[in-house]
Amino acid sequence: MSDVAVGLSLMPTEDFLRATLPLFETNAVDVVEWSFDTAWTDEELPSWMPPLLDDYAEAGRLLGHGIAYSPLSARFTARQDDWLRRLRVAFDRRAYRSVSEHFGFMTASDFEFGAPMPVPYTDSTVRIGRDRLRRLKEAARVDVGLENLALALGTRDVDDQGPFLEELLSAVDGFLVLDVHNLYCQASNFGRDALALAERYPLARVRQLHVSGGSWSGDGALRIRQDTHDDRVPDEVLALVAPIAARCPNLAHVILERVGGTLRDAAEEAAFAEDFRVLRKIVREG
Amino acid sequence: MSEADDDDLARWQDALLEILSRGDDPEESKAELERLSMTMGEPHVAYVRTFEPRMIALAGRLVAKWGRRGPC
Repeated sequence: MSDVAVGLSLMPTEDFLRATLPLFETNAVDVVEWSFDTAWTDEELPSWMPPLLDDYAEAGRLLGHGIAYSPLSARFTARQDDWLRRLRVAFDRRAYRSVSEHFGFMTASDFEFGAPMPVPYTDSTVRIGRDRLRRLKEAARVDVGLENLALALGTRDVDDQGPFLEELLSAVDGFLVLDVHNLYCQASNFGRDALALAERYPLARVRQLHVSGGSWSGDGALRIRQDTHDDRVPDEVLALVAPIAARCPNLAHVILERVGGTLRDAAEEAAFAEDFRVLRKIVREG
Repeated sequence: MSEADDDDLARWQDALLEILSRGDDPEESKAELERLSMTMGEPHVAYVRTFEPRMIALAGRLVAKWGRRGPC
């Protein structure tokens, strides 16, 4: 997998900068992903970030990853229309290679933001999702993708998400961002084998892997794995990277994620950088 | 599929977020979601019956943590 680029999801926080500066200084970060809709303008960012984004954009190594489009909301709202307008401006200003979003919906009722929720796999939801992806592609004018969701309310969500994503993405020749930790969450929470679960997804569409840590809540039968992005990557997730990557013939990027502000001290910052180096070694060695 | 299907789905999504945001007992939330799903037909009812209360509770915590209301 020597041609697969390994990178970071950028966070506009000082802890992230301290942890990753040695990686950037040694050119270890092949590609960066940026959630452009967390700060639509450079003025909202710390001074070190815009030049970094420019450098990666100019090198063709900047990936866009939205968090607030809500592609499976049943109603297409003025908020989403405005989001697409802002995306068009952001993508005109900086050259993103691609854009991805999250499977599911977060806006309904008067909720304008939230965590993505699953939706049932029906003809209606496929049609709605395809429409939203077409709008996204038209606005961004780059390849579009979706990331698998960690949360499943029940077994139908677990079993349906792979074929559902294939139906959505096929409409725009889109790509899948396969989040390995999200897959691990579903496998852990529903007693599934993670690799067998991965096989339910359209692996030929996988262009990116996301890798992160998370947390446990509850005890015994109520123990749940959550996608909180606030801890080190567990060994179980790292162990899935190589076998999953080997099943994804079009894999191009592997991205390490961590929520900004969750690296509590120098030891945690060093551990995050070490996770990146380990991930890079796994990807390089296959 | 018709616009009516989209309207039903929109109302379902409204109800799901509202019910989750209340943080009620997850068994009661599931029962309420099942009742609401009956207007959408048996396949949707069957879908809701697969929901696990512990995951409904988690979804409620996520809505409480990340949900933000405003003009949509």
